[in-house]
Amino acid sequence: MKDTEKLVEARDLTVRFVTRDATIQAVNGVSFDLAPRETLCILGESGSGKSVTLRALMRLNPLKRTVVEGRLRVGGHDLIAAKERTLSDIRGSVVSMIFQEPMTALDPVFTIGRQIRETILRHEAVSRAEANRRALELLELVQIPSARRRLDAYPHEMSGGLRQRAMIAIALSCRPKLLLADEPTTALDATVQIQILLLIKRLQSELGMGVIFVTHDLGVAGEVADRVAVMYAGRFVEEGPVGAMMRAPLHPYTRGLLGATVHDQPRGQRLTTIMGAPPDLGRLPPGCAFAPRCPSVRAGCLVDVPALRGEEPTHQARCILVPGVPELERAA
Amino acid sequence: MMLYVVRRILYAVPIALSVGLVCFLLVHIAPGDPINAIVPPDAPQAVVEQVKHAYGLDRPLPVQFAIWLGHVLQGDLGRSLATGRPVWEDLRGAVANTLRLAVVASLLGFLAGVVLGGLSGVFRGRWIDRAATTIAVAGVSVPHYWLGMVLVITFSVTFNVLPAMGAGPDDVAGWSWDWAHIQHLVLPAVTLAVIPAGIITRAIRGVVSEILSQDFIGTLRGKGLRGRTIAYHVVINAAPQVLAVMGLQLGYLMGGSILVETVFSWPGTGFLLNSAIFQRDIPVLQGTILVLAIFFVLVNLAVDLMQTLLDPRISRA
Amino acid sequence: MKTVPSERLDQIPDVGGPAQPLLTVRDLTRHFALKGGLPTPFGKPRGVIRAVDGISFDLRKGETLGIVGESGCGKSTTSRLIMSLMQPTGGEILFDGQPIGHGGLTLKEYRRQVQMVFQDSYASLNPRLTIAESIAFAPQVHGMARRGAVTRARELLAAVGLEPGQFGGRYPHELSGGQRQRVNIARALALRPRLIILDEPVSALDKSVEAQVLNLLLDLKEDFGLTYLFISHDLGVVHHVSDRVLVMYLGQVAEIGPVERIYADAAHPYTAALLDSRPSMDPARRRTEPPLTGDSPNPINPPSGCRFHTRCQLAEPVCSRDVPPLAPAGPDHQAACLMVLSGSGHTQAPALAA
Repeated sequence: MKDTEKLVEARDLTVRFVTRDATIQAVNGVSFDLAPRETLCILGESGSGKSVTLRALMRLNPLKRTVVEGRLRVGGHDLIAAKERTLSDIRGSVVSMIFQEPMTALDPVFTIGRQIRETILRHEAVSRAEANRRALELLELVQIPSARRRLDAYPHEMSGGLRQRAMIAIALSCRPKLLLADEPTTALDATVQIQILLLIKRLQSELGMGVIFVTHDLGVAGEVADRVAVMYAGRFVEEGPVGAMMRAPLHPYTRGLLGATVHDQPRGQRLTTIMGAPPDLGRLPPGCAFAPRCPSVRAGCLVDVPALRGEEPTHQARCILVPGVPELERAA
Repeated sequence: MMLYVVRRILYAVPIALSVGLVCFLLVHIAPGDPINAIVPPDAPQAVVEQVKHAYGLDRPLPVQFAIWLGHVLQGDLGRSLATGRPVWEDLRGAVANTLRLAVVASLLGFLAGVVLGGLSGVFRGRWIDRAATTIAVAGVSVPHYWLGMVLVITFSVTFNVLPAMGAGPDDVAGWSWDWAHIQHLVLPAVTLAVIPAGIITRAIRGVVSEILSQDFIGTLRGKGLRGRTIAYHVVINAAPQVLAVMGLQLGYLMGGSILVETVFSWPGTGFLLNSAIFQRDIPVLQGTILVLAIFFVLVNLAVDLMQTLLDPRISRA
Repeated sequence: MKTVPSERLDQIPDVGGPAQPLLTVRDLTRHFALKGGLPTPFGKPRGVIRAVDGISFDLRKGETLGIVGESGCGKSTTSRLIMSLMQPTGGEILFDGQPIGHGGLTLKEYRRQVQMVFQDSYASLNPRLTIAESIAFAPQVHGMARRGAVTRARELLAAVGLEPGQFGGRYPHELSGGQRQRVNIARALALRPRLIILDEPVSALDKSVEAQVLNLLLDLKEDFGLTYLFISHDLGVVHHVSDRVLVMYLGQVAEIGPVERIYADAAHPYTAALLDSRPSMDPARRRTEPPLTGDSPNPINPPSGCRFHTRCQLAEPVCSRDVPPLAPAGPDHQAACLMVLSGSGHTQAPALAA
């Protein structure tokens, strides 16, 4: 993939939260590319740094405490060097985000129509009437029934599924090139979850967007992703195409997650678990962060953070036990 | 929505009646026989009986209440025992004066509260926050009659720039909004404004910082909205709670501050109440308390309805 | 000081025998009145939320019955009704053949035998008590001496995998979500109950922790001789732990039966759609259309006849008229669908036996 074609290019992205008491290294050197129209799923549990990474892709982390370093280009814009003014122009128009809990992510005292119009009017020089017309179009695009009436509805007057659709409508109002989704279906019922996931896939192909999903649910990754990146203690510990990851995971953590997720194991059989608990990001051990919990740990694991390695260049993991040549840093 | 308004108004009626009952009973709760306020202690029994009958004090309590209520609803609050004039005559002027003072003091207090509260809510934890909070706490803690006296000593006695008492020049009756009158308003209004300023600072600080910590602020940033627009969202979200606090503060101030009005000899309801208490002028006391309490009930009702109007989440059923 | 004999608080022995269901629920109903309008006598009441609208089932001794359904189906309300945390509007609940209250079991006796674990592990614990004190609380209420209660608390902490010396003196905020949920389970066991109701016990936990807690629940069931009522929206988890499953829709039972049978071949279209909505872990088998569109209808004004008919692909005119009763759909398997009921008028229904 040529440089000019990449939608997202991230190299050694690090995010630190600096407070008077401590410095927390939430994201510890993340590198990846995303092509237009590609779907990447970042899979991880709480404390892995996945939500922080996602917010960093729009520089949405709290201004005062956050230090973001590395290289980050989205849709041709350099997001590390950009000032807040430029960033606020980019947010909502080039990159958009949808959140986990639409009840709290939407302003409760403004109507849905108003919240959509507001985004359009911020980024595009159109009249209010035109913005209103487009808001109606968007509600129909996300398949909200009685769209015209819903323009004047408040968030608390809608069900969870409809609220999430409204949030998607807001996010897509300026035709962004990249959609970031932070666990958008975790709070929804199963039948609504699959509707929303399929809706996002359909809109992605209709609008030609790239999508980055953050989730803890392997099922969601299996349903929507082209590529999956597993995150642990601030790093990608495995990344590859979704099929290969599900069938033949390389990293012990990924294998542990697969074993711990309930999917057709015989009833009554004990699930394989990952012993221990996620590490304290403020005090990471030297070497592989997963070593304290790994069933296959060796002495060499405690020395250095393993580099990504694998037999295929598209499927790599940070584990010294993975066969293959350790990949040198991808050409900057 | 209309149904909701009607319901709230209907609920206010029993509250107003209860308030009236308490006002009526005040006389009988106070120590001593009310008859002693009217008749000298050495009056002959026949006169006492006559006065009792004239004032209806020999009827059973519920009957007395009904009679009193009947008069009140016709606008007759009785006659002052001290002056013999109808209570409403003196009360009318006093209420107007107190209202003027209360409204001006409220506006001053709200302005100060909004500025200080807004600053400390946005910059929570920083020095601005600490400074504003200290001022607010000082405002609420300082006894306002003491503050009033300090202001009088400073501005009236030492520097002689503002008058110390009264509501206007002695030779002019009534009120007008000219400097001759307004200069009398300044010190008492500032004194009274200090408490609502403190309370509103604290309220706004809490509400604003709570709103800023909510998820939807992140969404607003994520849409690329600028600081101005986000501030507007915060204001609209904060309005219902903040306006409710403001409304109640206005209600308190309308109740008149006996202490401040006495310090400044401001001829409002507080001043009236003060002299009525010392003179044991029961009808004036009853009438004044009743009017002030009804005012407060109405302010509460208005605040309730306003909150419902502003916050779409409150059910309008 | 009067000496009170300390109770040992063992598990109350079986009363009705193995054939008697542990819990018998008949036509259980719970409505919530809607507020608003003018107060009577000026206006009239505005309708009710039919949260639970006539459910009946048996819970057998020693089994795990899973209750699944989506938000608004009434499963949480059902759990609270069974736990006697709220009173039903209608119907009855019998525990081992005895009613609760009204001359049967007293509430205290009942609560000794039925305990509950909730979804929010933090909100379930008193933040001012150490976890040992939290676990020891209920036994002391029921008459156990303090020393005995604390000993039992420590034993239970060990049983749920938390080292008592290390964890006993900690406060809830010092523990992780998974650890807190273990504490809640230990607390539920403190009175040696016979039935534990688990209301979404693992929904708020990470996947790896969820697996640990599920394993723990399976172990404890064997060790302590328990019966479980397991409520969840996660179909995979329910499949893993349950023997039978009950599917709820809009306050009613849609289907009930052995979990393997229902998951392999559901009789009720809603169950089938629900199972079909699980995201597939195999990228080769992705779908393009969701099995069910739209949201659940309003529990205030549920659809006429079969409540699912508005979203059912197989609905026919008769479905909007007749309310389907729970009818047999196989051995020990019932479904509330006209397709299963002979002679119901649905084209798919089996013919009446001649």
